[in-house]
Amino acid sequence: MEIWNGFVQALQGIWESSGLLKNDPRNYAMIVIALILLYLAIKKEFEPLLLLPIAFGMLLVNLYPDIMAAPTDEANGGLFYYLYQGVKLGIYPPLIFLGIGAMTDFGPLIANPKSFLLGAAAQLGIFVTFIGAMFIGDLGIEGLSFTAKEAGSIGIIGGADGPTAIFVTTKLAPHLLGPIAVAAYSYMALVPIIQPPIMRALTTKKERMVVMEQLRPVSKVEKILFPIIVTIIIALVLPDAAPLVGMLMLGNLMRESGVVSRISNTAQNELMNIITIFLGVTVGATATGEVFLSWQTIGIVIMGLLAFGFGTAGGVLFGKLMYKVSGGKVNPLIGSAGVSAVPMAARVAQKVGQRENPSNFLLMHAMGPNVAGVIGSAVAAGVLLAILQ
Amino acid sequence: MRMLLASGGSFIEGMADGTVALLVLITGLVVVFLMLIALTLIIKIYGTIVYNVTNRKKEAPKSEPVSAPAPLPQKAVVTAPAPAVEDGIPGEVVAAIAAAVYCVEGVSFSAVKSIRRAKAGGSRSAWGMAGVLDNTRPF
Repeated sequence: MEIWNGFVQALQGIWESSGLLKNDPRNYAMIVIALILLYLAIKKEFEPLLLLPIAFGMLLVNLYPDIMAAPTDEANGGLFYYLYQGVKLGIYPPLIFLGIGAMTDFGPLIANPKSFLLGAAAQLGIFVTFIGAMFIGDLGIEGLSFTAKEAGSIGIIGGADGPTAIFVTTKLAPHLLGPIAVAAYSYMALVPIIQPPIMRALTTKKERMVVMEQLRPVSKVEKILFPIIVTIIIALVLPDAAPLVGMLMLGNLMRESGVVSRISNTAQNELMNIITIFLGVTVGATATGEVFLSWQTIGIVIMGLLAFGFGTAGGVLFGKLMYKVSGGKVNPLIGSAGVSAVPMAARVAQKVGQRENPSNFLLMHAMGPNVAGVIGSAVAAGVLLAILQ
Repeated sequence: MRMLLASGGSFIEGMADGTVALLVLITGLVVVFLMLIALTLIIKIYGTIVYNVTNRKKEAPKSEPVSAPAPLPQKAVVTAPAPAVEDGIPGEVVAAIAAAVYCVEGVSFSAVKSIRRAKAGGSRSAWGMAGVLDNTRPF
């Protein structure tokens, strides 16, 4: 009898601690969303390297919320709580930038430095969305309003740069990290769908058919000097952007110097992959039902889309200006690549251009604004942090 | 600027939403553009300097062999029949093409008989297209 009572009590204890009894109904809605995201990552291959760990982190935290629990006097914290410290303390995004720097060839940008201007113009989306987020509260929908810091975090989605968006959000509005990261990465995966209609609407057929001159070759010395010069200038003038830009340029210097190929390879492969796993699952784990299912998330999703649209439009319109000023030598389509999202946005410019003129190769020309956009969004992040933090 | 920004959090708190929005818009766009314009100019200047220095270095050793022609190449010119070269194609290009054909054909290569320009099929030469494809294949 004693054994039977003990058995029943044990089962009761397991039942009471199980998610079936403890979980909020909203957690189940989030589990469905996580499964949809897993489907998109695996079946549709939408940014699978990030969306898969994000979706699984989201799934796990909504099944077992204590995996993100903070430590108490009696017990240690959950596994993701400790891994999340790398996000919370702003460690993972700069490390991701180290890997991106080691993978990026800034040659097209050095060969055509005017690309920097397109990378700057495409940051328009960040600031326009910031204004939109500040005033969305005027619609009068209960629960749908944002503070200036939250608006800054939403605006940075327009930078189309996941690590930058996470970096800024952890500093300005950490409670919105889940929806903002999910929106940023989802829209980056949807760049081939979002950008082309805007690009076609803002350009004429003649402009889209422009064949650009071949880029000059860039020497090794130029490529080595580039990360050093960019770091000195940006870190001196805008220190808030230094962690992101500094690590980006360190990775690039490791690549271009050619003397540390071992650590360059590690940065762009093993380290990048490890950080991607930690970043993905823990960012996903911030998307609990309580936080995610709100009017604010819907607002963030809408504003994020606007941010991408305005960013693309800003780049293309500036490209049109450069087309006029240069006497028709610049194809305005490459401006759309200024939103970052490397190399997806450059590939989109290439595809849209090639549809009009099959013998036109815009990819290397678009890579210039594309990598300039990474630097531009890091600078914009620095401005937001400097003003709002 | 740093002083202004350092106290940013406090001076924004008292402001109306509209003022903050405009402040961020104007400051953001101005700083981003100024920063990237500065980088554009600097990259352009040092790019020009490095490009010129590198080119000068490349041109310098070229003049030496011209002043003192080696006897061996002369011999080769005498034994091989001169290819029929279309007007406007310099001798260096002929040599480069002959070397490239030799690399591909190996020992079965005997001589280049003629060199003429292909009709432009598109906006880019075949060599340019090959280069572009080679560079863009990873994407």
